[in-house]
Amino acid sequence: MAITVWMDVESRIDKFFCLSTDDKPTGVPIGSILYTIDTLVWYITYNGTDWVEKKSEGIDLTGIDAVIDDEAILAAVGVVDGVVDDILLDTEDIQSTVNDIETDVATVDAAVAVVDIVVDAIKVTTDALPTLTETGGTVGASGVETDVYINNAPSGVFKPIALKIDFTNHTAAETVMITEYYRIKSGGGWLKEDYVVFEGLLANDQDSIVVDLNPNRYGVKVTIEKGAGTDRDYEWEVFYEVV
Amino acid sequence: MALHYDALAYNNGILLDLPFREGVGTITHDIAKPHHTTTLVNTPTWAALGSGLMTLELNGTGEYLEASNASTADLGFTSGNFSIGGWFNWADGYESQIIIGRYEVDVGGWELYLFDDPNWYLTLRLHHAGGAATRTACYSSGWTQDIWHFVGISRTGSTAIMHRNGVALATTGILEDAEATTRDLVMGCRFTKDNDYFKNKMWGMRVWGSALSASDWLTIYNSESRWFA
Repeated sequence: MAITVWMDVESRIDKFFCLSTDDKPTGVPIGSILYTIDTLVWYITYNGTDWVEKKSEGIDLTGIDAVIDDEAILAAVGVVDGVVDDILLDTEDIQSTVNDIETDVATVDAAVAVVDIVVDAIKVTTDALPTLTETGGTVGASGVETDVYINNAPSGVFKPIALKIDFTNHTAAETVMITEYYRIKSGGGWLKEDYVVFEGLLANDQDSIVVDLNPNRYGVKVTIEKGAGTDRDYEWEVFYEVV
Repeated sequence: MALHYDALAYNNGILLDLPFREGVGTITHDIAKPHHTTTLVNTPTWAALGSGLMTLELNGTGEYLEASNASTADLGFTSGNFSIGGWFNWADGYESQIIIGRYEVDVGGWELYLFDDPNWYLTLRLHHAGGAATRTACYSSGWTQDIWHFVGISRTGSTAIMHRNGVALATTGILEDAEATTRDLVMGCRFTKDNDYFKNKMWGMRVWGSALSASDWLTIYNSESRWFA
């Protein structure tokens, strides 16, 4: 293969390219360089005829090896490896901690699920607790049977307790009938359970009466009807337990 | 063992509580201490839910409930905090539908009404005979039709915090103290009793003379929601 040459105008040397088997040029400017393209080696001529291998183009690396402290580098690499190992260990620790936390969270979730079940169970019970409740009003007693207290269609089992009726307006001239009814099946009719006539003033200077009521599921009512005398207003109050 | 109505914390200061337990007739009784007797006008329908709970169904064209102004003087809030709560399920009908109110427009009192709009507004409005504004209001949205809602409103100073099913809502508006009114308490219609009829069902309308807390509303919702599942 023929030698190819370039003149480096600035450095005033020649640069050659050839095969390692080619004869190297002679009579060239001192300092010219040559590159064997099959062996990838640079050469330099110190007298224009003889060629010696150079280690780097245009740079004398003599002494560089002495500057580079391989052991120091290896030591530094070792330190870096140690740091990397530490980081990997830390990562493992962190992953382990994350795993522990996930396990703890799963444990807490399971516990919360149990608590939810318990709370739901408690709520089922507390929802079934009845509340003692009261209401009242005024009813006018006339010749027509009139509801005093009624729960026509309870939402479920409930416990009427007592109905109190104020007879303050009631005189010796009046007669009223108090009737207590219950419904004991869904859609059933009213069944008269009790009936009391109050003629004239109450005994023993009583001002009011109490109608005891019974547990119920399908309906309860108490009515008043005047039998004689003047139409009067009667205050009333009822207590019942209901969910 | 039974709980006692007045010992339940959320019943503290309650002034009106209508559980509609009669199930028949034209009178429904208040289980709060004042015993406001409320009359059904034009025969609203007693309607039991599948759960067995008795509700009142208004036809949206003329049925409502009322209690006289004189018998509801304790509900004439002109200053101070108060609360309104209850269950309702409204349907397409009048654009504005009154749930409950004791008021006269631009004169005095308070009203709670729905507005049929894509945003389904619920508004607490107070009325003023004088001052810069003849009415002030707070409102919230999302009160869709044909499903049950538990509304809880706590008027606190110049605002009213609204809750739906025990959860506080974004509420817009500023309130001023209302003036007095000579009008009756109404449920399901305008104060004039000739318009803005509520259509469909309601249950357990309540009024307190104090502002209930968020916890109170959630507690009530949790104890009653089973009836409306």
